[in-house]
Amino acid sequence: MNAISEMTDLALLEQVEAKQALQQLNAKFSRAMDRMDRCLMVSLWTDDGQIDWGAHKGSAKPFVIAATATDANLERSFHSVSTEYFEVDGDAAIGEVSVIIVSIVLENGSKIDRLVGGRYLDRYRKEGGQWRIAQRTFVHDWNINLPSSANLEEGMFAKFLKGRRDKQDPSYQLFGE
Amino acid sequence: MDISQRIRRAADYQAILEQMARYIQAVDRCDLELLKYTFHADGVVHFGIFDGNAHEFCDFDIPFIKENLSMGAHRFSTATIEFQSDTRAVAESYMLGNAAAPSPDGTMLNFPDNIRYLDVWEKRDGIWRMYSRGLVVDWNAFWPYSQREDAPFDEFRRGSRSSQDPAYALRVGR
Repeated sequence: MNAISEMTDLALLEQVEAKQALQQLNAKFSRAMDRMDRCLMVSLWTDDGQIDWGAHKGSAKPFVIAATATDANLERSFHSVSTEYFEVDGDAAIGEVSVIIVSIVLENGSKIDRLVGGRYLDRYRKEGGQWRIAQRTFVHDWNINLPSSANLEEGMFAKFLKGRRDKQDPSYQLFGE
Repeated sequence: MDISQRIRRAADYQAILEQMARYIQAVDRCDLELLKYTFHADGVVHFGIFDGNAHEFCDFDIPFIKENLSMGAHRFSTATIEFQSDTRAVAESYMLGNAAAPSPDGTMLNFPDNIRYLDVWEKRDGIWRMYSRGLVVDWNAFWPYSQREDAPFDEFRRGSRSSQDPAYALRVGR
Protein backbone atom coordinates (compact mmCIF):
# COMPACT_ATOMS: atom_id res chain seq x y z
CA MET A 1 0.00 0.00 0.00
CA ASN A 2 1.26 3.47 -0.89
CA ALA A 3 1.33 6.09 1.82
CA ILE A 4 -1.23 8.78 1.03
CA SER A 5 1.52 11.43 1.21
CA GLU A 6 3.36 9.74 -1.68
CA MET A 7 0.37 9.77 -4.04
CA THR A 8 -0.47 12.45 -6.57
CA ASP A 9 -3.81 14.27 -6.34
CA LEU A 10 -5.04 12.37 -9.39
CA ALA A 11 -3.99 8.99 -7.98
CA LEU A 12 -5.79 9.77 -4.70
CA LEU A 13 -8.96 10.76 -6.54
CA GLU A 14 -8.79 7.56 -8.58
CA GLN A 15 -8.52 5.51 -5.35
CA VAL A 16 -11.59 7.18 -3.87
CA GLU A 17 -13.55 6.77 -7.12
CA ALA A 18 -12.57 3.09 -7.35
CA LYS A 19 -13.65 2.36 -3.78
CA GLN A 20 -16.99 4.12 -4.28
CA ALA A 21 -17.51 2.18 -7.52
CA LEU A 22 -16.70 -1.12 -5.76
CA GLN A 23 -19.22 -0.29 -3.02
CA GLN A 24 -21.81 0.33 -5.77
CA LEU A 25 -20.85 -2.94 -7.48
CA ASN A 26 -21.60 -4.82 -4.26
CA ALA A 27 -24.92 -3.01 -3.73
CA LYS A 28 -25.92 -3.90 -7.30
CA PHE A 29 -25.04 -7.56 -6.67
CA SER A 30 -27.60 -7.48 -3.83
CA ARG A 31 -30.15 -5.85 -6.12
CA ALA A 32 -29.52 -8.51 -8.79
CA MET A 33 -29.88 -11.36 -6.26
CA ASP A 34 -32.92 -9.97 -4.47
CA ARG A 35 -34.81 -8.91 -7.59
CA MET A 36 -33.66 -11.94 -9.69
CA ASP A 37 -32.41 -9.41 -12.26
CA ARG A 38 -30.37 -11.47 -14.72
CA CYS A 39 -29.37 -8.57 -17.00
CA LEU A 40 -28.00 -6.65 -14.04
CA MET A 41 -26.27 -9.75 -12.62
CA VAL A 42 -24.54 -10.55 -15.92
CA SER A 43 -23.25 -6.97 -16.16
CA LEU A 44 -21.46 -7.26 -12.80
CA TRP A 45 -19.05 -10.04 -13.83
CA THR A 46 -15.98 -10.21 -16.04
CA ASP A 47 -16.46 -12.62 -18.94
CA ASP A 48 -14.08 -15.10 -17.27
CA GLY A 49 -15.57 -14.56 -13.78
CA GLN A 50 -15.00 -17.37 -11.28
CA ILE A 51 -17.09 -18.27 -8.25
CA ASP A 52 -16.88 -20.49 -5.17
CA TRP A 53 -20.36 -20.34 -3.61
CA GLY A 54 -21.63 -23.60 -2.12
CA ALA A 55 -22.30 -26.08 -4.90
CA HIS A 56 -21.12 -23.54 -7.50
CA LYS A 57 -17.38 -23.80 -8.13
CA GLY A 58 -15.73 -22.54 -11.31
CA SER A 59 -17.19 -20.33 -14.02
CA ALA A 60 -19.67 -17.81 -12.63
CA LYS A 61 -22.03 -18.27 -15.59
CA PRO A 62 -24.07 -21.21 -14.20
CA PHE A 63 -24.33 -19.35 -10.88
CA VAL A 64 -25.58 -16.22 -12.65
CA ILE A 65 -28.34 -18.27 -14.29
CA ALA A 66 -29.27 -20.26 -11.16
CA ALA A 67 -29.31 -17.24 -8.82
CA THR A 68 -31.67 -15.35 -11.12
CA ALA A 69 -33.99 -18.26 -11.96
CA THR A 70 -37.38 -18.73 -10.32
CA ASP A 71 -37.08 -20.81 -7.16
CA ALA A 72 -40.41 -21.96 -5.75
CA ASN A 73 -38.73 -22.68 -2.41
CA LEU A 74 -37.34 -19.15 -1.96
CA GLU A 75 -40.09 -16.67 -1.22
CA ARG A 76 -38.05 -13.58 -0.31
CA SER A 77 -34.42 -12.60 0.04
CA PHE A 78 -32.51 -9.63 1.39
CA HIS A 79 -28.72 -9.40 0.99
CA SER A 80 -27.60 -6.61 3.30
CA VAL A 81 -23.90 -5.80 2.74
CA SER A 82 -21.72 -3.72 5.00
CA THR A 83 -18.17 -3.46 6.33
CA GLU A 84 -16.87 -3.08 2.79
CA TYR A 85 -13.06 -3.23 2.66
CA PHE A 86 -11.15 -2.74 -0.60
CA GLU A 87 -7.52 -2.55 -1.67
CA VAL A 88 -7.06 -1.03 -5.12
CA ASP A 89 -4.00 -1.43 -7.34
CA GLY A 90 -4.56 0.25 -10.71
CA ASP A 91 -7.21 -1.68 -12.64
CA ALA A 92 -7.27 -4.57 -10.14
CA ALA A 93 -8.61 -4.74 -6.60
CA ILE A 94 -9.35 -7.17 -3.81
CA GLY A 95 -12.18 -6.89 -1.32
CA GLU A 96 -13.78 -8.38 1.77
CA VAL A 97 -17.46 -7.54 2.35
CA SER A 98 -19.81 -8.69 5.12
CA VAL A 99 -23.26 -9.91 4.17
CA ILE A 100 -26.33 -10.83 6.20
CA ILE A 101 -28.75 -12.79 4.01
CA VAL A 102 -32.31 -12.91 5.31
CA SER A 103 -34.72 -15.13 3.44
CA ILE A 104 -37.99 -16.98 3.77
CA VAL A 105 -37.52 -20.50 2.44
CA LEU A 106 -39.99 -23.34 2.06
CA GLU A 107 -38.73 -26.57 3.57
CA ASN A 108 -40.89 -29.70 3.83
CA GLY A 109 -43.96 -27.53 3.38
CA SER A 110 -43.05 -25.10 6.18
CA LYS A 111 -41.92 -21.51 5.91
CA ILE A 112 -38.57 -20.93 7.56
CA ASP A 113 -36.88 -17.63 8.35
CA ARG A 114 -33.24 -18.20 7.44
CA LEU A 115 -30.57 -15.71 8.47
CA VAL A 116 -27.08 -16.38 7.12
CA GLY A 117 -24.02 -14.33 8.00
CA GLY A 118 -20.97 -14.48 5.80
CA ARG A 119 -18.40 -12.67 3.76
CA TYR A 120 -17.50 -12.18 0.13
CA LEU A 121 -13.79 -12.55 -0.61
CA ASP A 122 -13.34 -10.95 -4.00
CA ARG A 123 -11.03 -10.05 -6.83
CA TYR A 124 -12.22 -7.24 -9.07
CA ARG A 125 -11.05 -5.96 -12.46
CA LYS A 126 -11.76 -2.70 -14.24
CA GLU A 127 -12.68 -3.33 -17.86
CA GLY A 128 -13.79 -0.62 -20.29
CA GLY A 129 -14.13 1.82 -17.42
CA GLN A 130 -16.37 -0.54 -15.38
CA TRP A 131 -15.36 -2.40 -12.22
CA ARG A 132 -16.52 -6.02 -12.36
CA ILE A 133 -16.23 -9.13 -10.20
CA ALA A 134 -13.48 -11.43 -11.49
CA GLN A 135 -13.61 -13.91 -8.60
CA ARG A 136 -15.98 -14.24 -5.66
CA THR A 137 -15.72 -16.72 -2.78
CA PHE A 138 -18.65 -16.83 -0.38
CA VAL A 139 -17.54 -17.72 3.15
CA HIS A 140 -20.31 -18.92 5.48
CA ASP A 141 -19.86 -17.77 9.08
CA TRP A 142 -23.20 -18.50 10.82
CA ASN A 143 -26.85 -19.30 10.24
CA ILE A 144 -30.10 -19.11 12.19
CA ASN A 145 -33.24 -21.04 11.22
CA LEU A 146 -36.60 -20.31 12.83
CA PRO A 147 -40.22 -20.92 11.93
CA SER A 148 -41.35 -17.91 9.90
CA SER A 149 -43.39 -15.43 11.92
CA ALA A 150 -43.64 -12.70 9.30
CA ASN A 151 -46.70 -10.50 9.19
CA LEU A 152 -46.67 -8.72 5.85
CA GLU A 153 -50.39 -8.39 5.12
CA GLU A 154 -52.36 -8.01 8.35
CA GLY A 155 -53.32 -4.87 10.25
CA MET A 156 -50.95 -1.93 9.76
CA PHE A 157 -48.67 -4.06 7.55
CA ALA A 158 -51.31 -4.25 4.82
CA LYS A 159 -50.60 -0.58 4.08
CA PHE A 160 -46.93 -0.96 3.15
CA LEU A 161 -45.55 -1.70 -0.30
CA LYS A 162 -43.89 -5.15 -0.35
CA GLY A 163 -40.70 -6.20 -2.03
CA ARG A 164 -40.79 -8.71 -4.86
CA ARG A 165 -38.18 -10.89 -6.56
CA ASP A 166 -39.02 -9.60 -10.03
CA LYS A 167 -39.46 -6.49 -12.17
CA GLN A 168 -42.74 -5.71 -10.41
CA ASP A 169 -40.70 -4.58 -7.40
CA PRO A 170 -41.37 -0.87 -6.66
CA SER A 171 -37.66 -0.03 -7.09
CA TYR A 172 -37.98 -0.36 -10.89
CA GLN A 173 -40.20 2.71 -10.90
CA LEU A 174 -37.18 4.59 -9.54
CA PHE A 175 -34.32 3.08 -11.53
CA GLY A 176 -36.16 1.97 -14.65
CA GLU A 177 -35.39 -1.41 -16.19
CA MET B 1 -15.86 15.13 -16.26
CA ASP B 2 -12.80 17.24 -15.40
CA ILE B 3 -10.89 16.77 -12.14
CA SER B 4 -12.91 19.37 -10.25
CA GLN B 5 -16.21 17.74 -11.30
CA ARG B 6 -14.90 14.30 -10.30
CA ILE B 7 -13.91 15.54 -6.84
CA ARG B 8 -17.37 17.15 -6.46
CA ARG B 9 -19.06 13.90 -7.51
CA ALA B 10 -17.08 11.85 -4.98
CA ALA B 11 -17.99 14.37 -2.26
CA ASP B 12 -21.66 14.36 -3.35
CA TYR B 13 -21.73 10.55 -3.04
CA GLN B 14 -20.30 10.80 0.47
CA ALA B 15 -22.76 13.57 1.40
CA ILE B 16 -25.77 11.43 0.42
CA LEU B 17 -24.49 8.48 2.48
CA GLU B 18 -24.05 10.83 5.45
CA GLN B 19 -27.61 12.14 5.13
CA MET B 20 -28.84 8.53 4.98
CA ALA B 21 -27.00 7.98 8.28
CA ARG B 22 -28.49 11.16 9.79
CA TYR B 23 -31.99 9.94 8.94
CA ILE B 24 -31.27 6.74 10.92
CA GLN B 25 -29.76 8.72 13.81
CA ALA B 26 -32.81 10.99 13.88
CA VAL B 27 -35.32 8.13 14.00
CA ASP B 28 -33.40 6.23 16.66
CA ARG B 29 -32.90 9.30 18.86
CA CYS B 30 -36.45 10.58 18.13
CA ASP B 31 -34.78 13.82 16.96
CA LEU B 32 -37.46 15.72 15.04
CA GLU B 33 -35.19 18.60 14.04
CA LEU B 34 -32.53 16.27 12.60
CA LEU B 35 -35.17 14.19 10.81
CA LYS B 36 -36.55 17.29 9.09
CA TYR B 37 -33.00 18.33 8.14
CA THR B 38 -32.76 15.28 5.85
CA PHE B 39 -35.81 16.35 3.76
CA HIS B 40 -36.49 19.42 1.63
CA ALA B 41 -39.46 21.37 3.01
CA ASP B 42 -41.52 20.48 -0.10
CA GLY B 43 -40.37 16.84 0.06
CA VAL B 44 -42.77 13.93 0.03
CA VAL B 45 -42.88 10.45 1.54
CA HIS B 46 -44.71 7.34 0.33
CA PHE B 47 -44.72 5.23 3.47
CA GLY B 48 -48.09 3.45 3.24
CA ILE B 49 -49.03 4.47 6.77
CA PHE B 50 -48.30 8.07 5.75
CA ASP B 51 -48.29 9.48 2.21
CA GLY B 52 -47.72 13.21 1.88
CA ASN B 53 -45.46 16.09 2.84
CA ALA B 54 -42.19 14.93 4.37
CA HIS B 55 -42.02 17.49 7.18
CA GLU B 56 -45.61 16.68 8.16
CA PHE B 57 -44.54 13.02 8.16
CA CYS B 58 -41.70 13.88 10.57
CA ASP B 59 -44.20 15.60 12.90
CA PHE B 60 -46.37 12.46 12.74
CA ASP B 61 -43.62 9.83 12.94
CA ILE B 62 -41.62 10.85 16.00
CA PRO B 63 -44.61 10.80 18.41
CA PHE B 64 -45.88 7.64 16.65
CA ILE B 65 -42.72 5.60 17.24
CA LYS B 66 -42.30 7.00 20.78
CA GLU B 67 -45.81 5.84 21.62
CA ASN B 68 -45.80 2.47 19.83
CA LEU B 69 -42.26 1.15 20.19
CA SER B 70 -40.49 0.64 23.49
CA MET B 71 -37.17 0.36 21.63
CA GLY B 72 -36.06 0.98 18.06
CA ALA B 73 -32.66 0.63 16.40
CA HIS B 74 -32.02 0.90 12.68
CA ARG B 75 -28.98 0.11 10.53
CA PHE B 76 -28.77 1.03 6.86
CA SER B 77 -26.52 -0.54 4.24
CA THR B 78 -26.33 -1.58 0.60
CA ALA B 79 -27.01 1.84 -0.91
CA THR B 80 -27.27 2.03 -4.69
CA ILE B 81 -26.88 5.67 -5.73
CA GLU B 82 -27.33 6.81 -9.35
CA PHE B 83 -26.67 10.44 -10.23
CA GLN B 84 -29.02 11.89 -12.84
CA SER B 85 -27.27 15.28 -12.80
CA ASP B 86 -24.94 17.27 -10.53
CA THR B 87 -27.93 18.13 -8.33
CA ARG B 88 -30.18 15.07 -8.51
CA ALA B 89 -29.75 11.38 -7.67
CA VAL B 90 -31.98 8.36 -7.17
CA ALA B 91 -31.07 5.80 -4.51
CA GLU B 92 -32.10 2.56 -2.88
CA SER B 93 -30.83 1.53 0.55
CA TYR B 94 -31.43 -1.51 2.72
CA MET B 95 -32.44 -1.22 6.38
CA LEU B 96 -32.16 -3.89 9.06
CA GLY B 97 -34.09 -2.81 12.11
CA ASN B 98 -34.80 -4.12 15.55
CA ALA B 99 -37.67 -2.92 17.69
CA ALA B 100 -39.65 -4.03 20.71
CA ALA B 101 -43.32 -3.39 21.25
CA PRO B 102 -46.16 -4.81 23.34
CA SER B 103 -48.50 -7.16 21.49
CA PRO B 104 -52.29 -6.65 21.82
CA ASP B 105 -52.39 -9.01 24.83
CA GLY B 106 -49.67 -7.01 26.57
CA THR B 107 -46.73 -9.39 26.23
CA MET B 108 -43.59 -7.79 24.83
CA LEU B 109 -42.37 -8.87 21.42
CA ASN B 110 -39.05 -8.44 19.69
CA PHE B 111 -39.72 -7.22 16.19
CA PRO B 112 -36.85 -7.28 13.66
CA ASP B 113 -37.57 -6.06 10.16
CA ASN B 114 -35.98 -5.60 6.75
CA ILE B 115 -37.10 -2.74 4.59
CA ARG B 116 -35.76 -0.71 1.69
CA TYR B 117 -35.87 3.02 1.16
CA LEU B 118 -36.40 4.34 -2.39
CA ASP B 119 -35.27 7.94 -2.64
CA VAL B 120 -34.94 10.96 -4.88
CA TRP B 121 -32.16 13.25 -3.64
CA GLU B 122 -31.74 16.88 -4.66
CA LYS B 123 -28.88 19.25 -3.93
CA ARG B 124 -30.20 22.74 -3.25
CA ASP B 125 -28.10 25.63 -1.86
CA GLY B 126 -25.22 23.13 -1.62
CA ILE B 127 -27.02 20.64 0.65
CA TRP B 128 -28.27 17.20 -0.39
CA ARG B 129 -31.68 16.40 1.06
CA MET B 130 -34.44 14.02 0.07
CA TYR B 131 -37.12 15.29 -2.25
CA SER B 132 -38.86 11.92 -2.01
CA ARG B 133 -38.57 8.75 0.07
CA GLY B 134 -40.62 5.60 -0.37
CA LEU B 135 -40.64 2.48 1.80
CA VAL B 136 -40.82 -1.19 0.77
CA VAL B 137 -41.15 -3.96 3.35
CA ASP B 138 -39.19 -7.15 2.63
CA TRP B 139 -39.38 -9.15 5.85
CA ASN B 140 -40.24 -9.05 9.51
CA ALA B 141 -40.48 -11.44 12.43
CA PHE B 142 -42.05 -11.56 15.85
CA TRP B 143 -39.80 -13.15 18.41
CA PRO B 144 -40.18 -13.56 22.19
CA TYR B 145 -38.75 -10.54 23.97
CA SER B 146 -35.63 -11.75 25.78
CA GLN B 147 -33.87 -8.52 26.64
CA ARG B 148 -32.17 -8.54 30.06
CA GLU B 149 -31.25 -5.60 32.24
CA ASP B 150 -29.10 -7.47 34.79
CA ALA B 151 -25.32 -8.06 34.72
CA PRO B 152 -23.41 -7.74 32.54
CA PHE B 153 -25.85 -5.58 30.57
CA ASP B 154 -26.32 -3.11 33.41
CA GLU B 155 -22.63 -2.17 33.16
CA PHE B 156 -22.85 -0.67 29.68
CA ARG B 157 -23.55 2.91 28.74
CA ARG B 158 -27.13 2.90 27.46
CA GLY B 159 -28.60 4.57 24.43
CA SER B 160 -31.49 6.97 24.82
CA ARG B 161 -34.25 7.96 22.42
CA SER B 162 -33.63 11.60 23.28
CA SER B 163 -30.91 14.25 23.34
CA GLN B 164 -29.70 12.53 26.53
CA ASP B 165 -28.06 9.92 24.29
CA PRO B 166 -24.23 9.88 24.60
CA ALA B 167 -23.95 10.72 20.86
CA TYR B 168 -25.01 14.30 21.57
CA ALA B 169 -22.16 14.82 24.08
CA LEU B 170 -19.73 13.92 21.29
CA ARG B 171 -20.84 16.97 19.29
CA VAL B 172 -20.77 19.47 22.17
CA GLY B 173 -18.01 22.02 21.75
CA ARG B 174 -17.31 21.29 18.09
